[in-house]
Amino acid sequence: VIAASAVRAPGASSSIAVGLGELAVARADTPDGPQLVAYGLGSCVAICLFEARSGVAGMAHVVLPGESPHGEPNARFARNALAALREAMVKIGGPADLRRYQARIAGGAQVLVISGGGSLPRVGDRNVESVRDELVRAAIPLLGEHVGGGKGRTVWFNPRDLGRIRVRTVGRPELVF
Amino acid sequence: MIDIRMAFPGTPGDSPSISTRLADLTPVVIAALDNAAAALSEMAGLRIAVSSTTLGLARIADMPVLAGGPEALALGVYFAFSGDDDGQGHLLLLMDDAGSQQVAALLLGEDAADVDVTASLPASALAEAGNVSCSAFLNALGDTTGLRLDITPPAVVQDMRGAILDALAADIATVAEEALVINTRFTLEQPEQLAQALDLRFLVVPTPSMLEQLLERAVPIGAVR
Repeated sequence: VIAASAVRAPGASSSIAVGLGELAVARADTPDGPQLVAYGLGSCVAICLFEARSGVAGMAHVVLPGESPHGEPNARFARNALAALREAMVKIGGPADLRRYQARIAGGAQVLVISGGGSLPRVGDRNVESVRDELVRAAIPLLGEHVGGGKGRTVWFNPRDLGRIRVRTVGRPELVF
Repeated sequence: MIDIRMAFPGTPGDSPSISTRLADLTPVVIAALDNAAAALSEMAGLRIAVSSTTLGLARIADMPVLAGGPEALALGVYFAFSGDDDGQGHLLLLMDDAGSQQVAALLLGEDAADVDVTASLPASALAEAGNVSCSAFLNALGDTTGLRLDITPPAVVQDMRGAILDALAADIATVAEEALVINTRFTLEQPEQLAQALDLRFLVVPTPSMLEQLLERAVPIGAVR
């Protein structure tokens, strides 16, 4: 699923909200082009890919650590998200060779911790591990990450920031890396 | 007067039969929600009522924005519940940050300005509010449907609204593309200042297998099962 909702704040560039299991792509050479944003990531992980020569950026909002039952490119699953991103990024001028991209990731928190042990699986940790494994498998350098912990995050990815992402966590200074 | 809505966005997964079958379940759910509001009223010494309820299928991607701005700070008291078979579900008492402080202050008999909802005592009080309301809801639902519904201990979390719902949606995503969301707003009749400011929501999200169990066993109120 490719996110299609765009919201423009007065005086600011537009944003494309990337919902759970969705992805969105954008180009750095579009002056008023949108930035990509994943609001309130809990256990999910935002994979942010950027390719410097083409200026193509893409964000996938990964929900689950495993593989799609049908094996198709799918941003929801860590095992299929890079293929989905590649498909979408190639369509707007990015290279097909994933090794030319650089990656930043954020998310994978354990927000809901039930006292006395709890029944919710630690999906966040597994999402992070799975995404890291896939990046290694695809030979994409991971240049920065802000993952784990117990707090949710919002991630902004402006293609004009040359691959860097902004991460907001409640009660903490905003990070840029 | 309770505002009850059935919301079924035009996604490919919609099934007309679902809305038909929900007609029997809806009054059962409303009665259970009234039970939850009554239990919460008794515990808090306030008059709390159900003001609106929406029953609708929601895509996983949309869940984090179902209860307001995803970046807004909120406090959630979360429970998982399970049935006799493999059906499970999620219950969430969700309130805005300022409201949670005032509710905790009311429960503890303290000044809201002195209350830190992340401290153990206020968090325990809010957990108990969640416990009372969610247990009352499930007891009523279980009594009407004949299902034995077990509930986990509470998880109290203060975070972005979207992050709390993201964690819940991620669990649903392991088994479904979309899920029924029962999205309810509670209102207080007094004190007036809190009643106007408080955004108090009660969300129920059954997995598809739990929903199927509820639909199979739901009969109109007053009918003999």
